[in-house]
Amino acid sequence: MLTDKSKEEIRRIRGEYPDPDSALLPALYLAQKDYGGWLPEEAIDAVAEIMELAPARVGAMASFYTLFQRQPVGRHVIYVCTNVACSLLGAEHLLEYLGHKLGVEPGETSADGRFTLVEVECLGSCGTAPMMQVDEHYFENLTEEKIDRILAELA
Amino acid sequence: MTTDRMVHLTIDDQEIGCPEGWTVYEAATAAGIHIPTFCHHEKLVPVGACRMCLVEIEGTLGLQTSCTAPVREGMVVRVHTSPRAVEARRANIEFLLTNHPLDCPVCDKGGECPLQDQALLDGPGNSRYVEEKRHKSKRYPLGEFIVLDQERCVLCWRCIRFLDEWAGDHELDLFGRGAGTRLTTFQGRPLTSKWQGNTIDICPVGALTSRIFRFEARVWELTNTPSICPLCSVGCNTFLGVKNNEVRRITPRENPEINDVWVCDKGRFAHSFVDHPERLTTPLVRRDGKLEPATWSEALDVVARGFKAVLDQDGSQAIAGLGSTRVSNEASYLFQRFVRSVLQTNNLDHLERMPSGATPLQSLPNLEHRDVIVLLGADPSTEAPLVELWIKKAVLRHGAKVIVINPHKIELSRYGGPWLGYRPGSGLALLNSLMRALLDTGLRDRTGRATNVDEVRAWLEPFGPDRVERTTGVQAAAIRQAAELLAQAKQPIILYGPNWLLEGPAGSAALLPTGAPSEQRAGLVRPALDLVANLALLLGGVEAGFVPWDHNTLGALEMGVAPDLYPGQQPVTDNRVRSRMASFWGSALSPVRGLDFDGMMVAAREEGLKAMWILGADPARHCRVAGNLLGQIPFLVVQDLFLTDTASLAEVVLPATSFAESDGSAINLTGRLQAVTAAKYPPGQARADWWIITQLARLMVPPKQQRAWAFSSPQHVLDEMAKVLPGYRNLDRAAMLAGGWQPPRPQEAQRRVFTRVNAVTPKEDPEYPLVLCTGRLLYDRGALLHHAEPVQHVVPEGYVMIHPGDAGQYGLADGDGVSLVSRAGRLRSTVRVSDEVAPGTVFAPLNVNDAPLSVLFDDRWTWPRVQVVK
Ligand code: SF4
Ligand code: SF4
Ligand code: FES
Repeated sequence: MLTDKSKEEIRRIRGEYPDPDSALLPALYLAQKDYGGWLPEEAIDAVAEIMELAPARVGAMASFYTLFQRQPVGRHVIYVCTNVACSLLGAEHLLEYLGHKLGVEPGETSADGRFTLVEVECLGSCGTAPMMQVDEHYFENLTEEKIDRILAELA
Repeated sequence: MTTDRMVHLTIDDQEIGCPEGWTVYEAATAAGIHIPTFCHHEKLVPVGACRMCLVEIEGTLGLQTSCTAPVREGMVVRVHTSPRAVEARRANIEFLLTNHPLDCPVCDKGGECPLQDQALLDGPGNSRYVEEKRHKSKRYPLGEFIVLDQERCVLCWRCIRFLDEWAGDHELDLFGRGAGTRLTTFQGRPLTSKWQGNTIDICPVGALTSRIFRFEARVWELTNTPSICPLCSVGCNTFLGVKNNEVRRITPRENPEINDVWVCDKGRFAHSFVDHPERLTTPLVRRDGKLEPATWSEALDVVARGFKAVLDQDGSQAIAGLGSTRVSNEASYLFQRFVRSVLQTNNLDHLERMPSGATPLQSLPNLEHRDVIVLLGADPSTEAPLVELWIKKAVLRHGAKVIVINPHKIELSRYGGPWLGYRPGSGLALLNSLMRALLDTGLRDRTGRATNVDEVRAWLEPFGPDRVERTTGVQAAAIRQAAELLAQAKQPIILYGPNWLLEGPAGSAALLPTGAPSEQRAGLVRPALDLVANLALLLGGVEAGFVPWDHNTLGALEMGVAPDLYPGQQPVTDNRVRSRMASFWGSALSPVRGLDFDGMMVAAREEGLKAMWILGADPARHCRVAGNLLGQIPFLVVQDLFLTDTASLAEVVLPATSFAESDGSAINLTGRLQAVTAAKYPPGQARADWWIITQLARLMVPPKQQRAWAFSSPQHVLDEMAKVLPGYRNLDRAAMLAGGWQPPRPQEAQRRVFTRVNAVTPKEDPEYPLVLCTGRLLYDRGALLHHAEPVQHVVPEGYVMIHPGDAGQYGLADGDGVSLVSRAGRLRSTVRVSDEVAPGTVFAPLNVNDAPLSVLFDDRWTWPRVQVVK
């Protein structure tokens, strides 16, 4: 369920734009937090209702951006960029490494429910490639050891 | 936005001038320079999604999408003279085709497919792509009417934009991204829009195809005949695509005055009644109590002898004719001519008659420019869908407000305009109250034309919004909100429907017994009309237009299928008019007004009515009492498409043609005369109405009158109509065929006075505490639709809608099986609890229950009071 606070916040954000479409990204972000890191059908309908937009519009938006999840996720979501710069510096290998370590394919959640692994396009950190985003934090200039350390620190 | 200023530019070395605000694509097209497009559609806002229309514009880096690039003064554009642009477009086609399946031989779009055409015209002609093509879902039903092939989709957004921009039903969208992008609905929900069929037409590939037309024919096998949709009063212009003498599909025919380039799904998909196996294919004559097939000469002979016998024994007052709002003008005209000149009586009527004082809507496209639209007992979404589309245009593009005054919510309530949900029977009080609230906003009659505005204030004293809250069930705040909106409106319009007219008799409490003279009964709707006129006058003499339900409602009245009116709505009691008609028709005519339908039924009860001819109407289905009485008429003749309830009571049944099988004309809700053209042969021995009437007349009239019945085609009938009907002298047949011809409108005297209407509170009946109101659904099991199998899947089961408060009080829950009980009868139904109906009111849709709702009505002028019991 959307918390009352989020509903109010979504309404406020909506009021800041002439066109409700423009406020969709922050609204969906709030909803995703309320729903435990992903957007079930109900969440999309709820956002659509507050924004007075069609569920198809909101659902399509959520399906476009990799930062929104439409499946249940683990406690942490790992986004690995495999776009050009990162790939040149070994991102594909690191993605494989992560998959192996967690026992998942991209898009899946580890058996212990801790991690969901997602392959994404450029996150705008090409200068420090290869990189990944875990939840809301960037981790840059990655190596296998660095990944081990980062994951170990996350509950 | 287009302005008056002209811009000059060069396209492919051609000097072109066009208005500022045009796009390069529009300028080129107007100059006859072809630019291929996929996403661009002239009725949709440009998006620039497909890159098909790339052109070179001097001074800009890279190629530009001409469908979004605005023209500028001095611009130099190269379309076909730029090798770069030509190559880019060629490459674009090649790209589109890499993943496009080679389905053409089995694709319904083949033969009318922009992708095929452009691949030939602008593409490379062959493919270098040998890899595996991308696979997506191929046979994906998006609902009852459309099947989607995602592999064929070129992601052009047209379908999405149409549903969003025009229908306000944003049900389709593109999901995912990149190569995996798919067109679909959210979570696989079925499409519900009543406009979805239009996406099939505008899809530039075969991604969206009709489930009804699928694999029925290759498009080049169809003969497309221009026609008119017969399913509501709008009369959308269509093409009937016929193959092997069967209507396979209906597509819209452009008419900017009526349907633009669209039609609703009912008009598009509900055509199979035309070719239904239960169509009557031969005349039927009752022998030993059973209706048996007969030849035309046998059947017509029986009818002629039957009518003659009654004329000889009982005189012309013992015969009557009932026409219809669904048949052509030619049929109606000849029918009344026959009844008047051959049967010598004015006992003529039709059901759902438009009251003489109601004014037709002036124009459909003008609705777009109204800022406040008042819907009074009218639900365009179900009753006249194209009207809804124009209203939505006003709302979605220009922010118009819709005020809904109706006992139950309607689809157009969704735009947040106030909903004044009154208890049926309290409508007059409510409208008085709205007037009063308008005066309270400080608004006086805007034009200063009215002579008695001060009196109005005094009359309306008892109708303060707070005072009527209890009787009408409408919150004072909602009334005031509506008044505020109207007071500020610059271009308001009032649309009212048949359900509003019923407020007249209900609200004036002057219940007449059935059988009272017809003028008195007709007078009962007067208060409802007067109040509409009052409101229009107060708002500054604004337009108020009637939105009827049936296809040819205006035609039936205009052709004179009425006890009191000749064609052209001229009174039968006027001697001069009568002698004019008599000379046209070659026969003396009765000078006395005839019986209306209720009068006929009284006569039937008193056994004074010995013969009746019913053309294209099924009163037995719509009125139980009438059904019983019709059964008592000794000689009943019914002419129709199917063996209806009424037809099964007849002595002789005559098989008629449908709109697809005979030429004729009809008058739509804005008064346009439109041509209907035969697109196929009728089934079996079925014959056109004009032919049947003419044949019968020839059997009955004496030799010297034979010439008066020498019609050999419906065009001849129209010739005579053009002479007889005032204003039709300059009938322009070419215009009538092309897009409709508008006869000159009689100059209406501008109203200057408010009419006092006393609203009486309807009496409560503790035993039957609720008021039943009925209304139409878009898809129902009515006369024609119930023979249109594809739309039957979307007809809901019968239900009765009740307000949560009332449901609580009577212990009813959603889904409960109940009986609706009135003083006249009872009916089984299922409860739907919803706050979309006013408290104290229950709503039941027409033509979906197993039994007709008419069992609950004791006379057809008022809403019955009911109780709902488990
Ligand atoms: S289904 Fe047709 S109209 Fe809709 S996006 Fe695809 S190609 Fe365009
Ligand atoms: S709006 Fe009316 S006339 Fe037009 S297609 Fe629909 S039913 Fe037919
Ligand atoms: S037609 Fe111009 S981009 Fe599609």
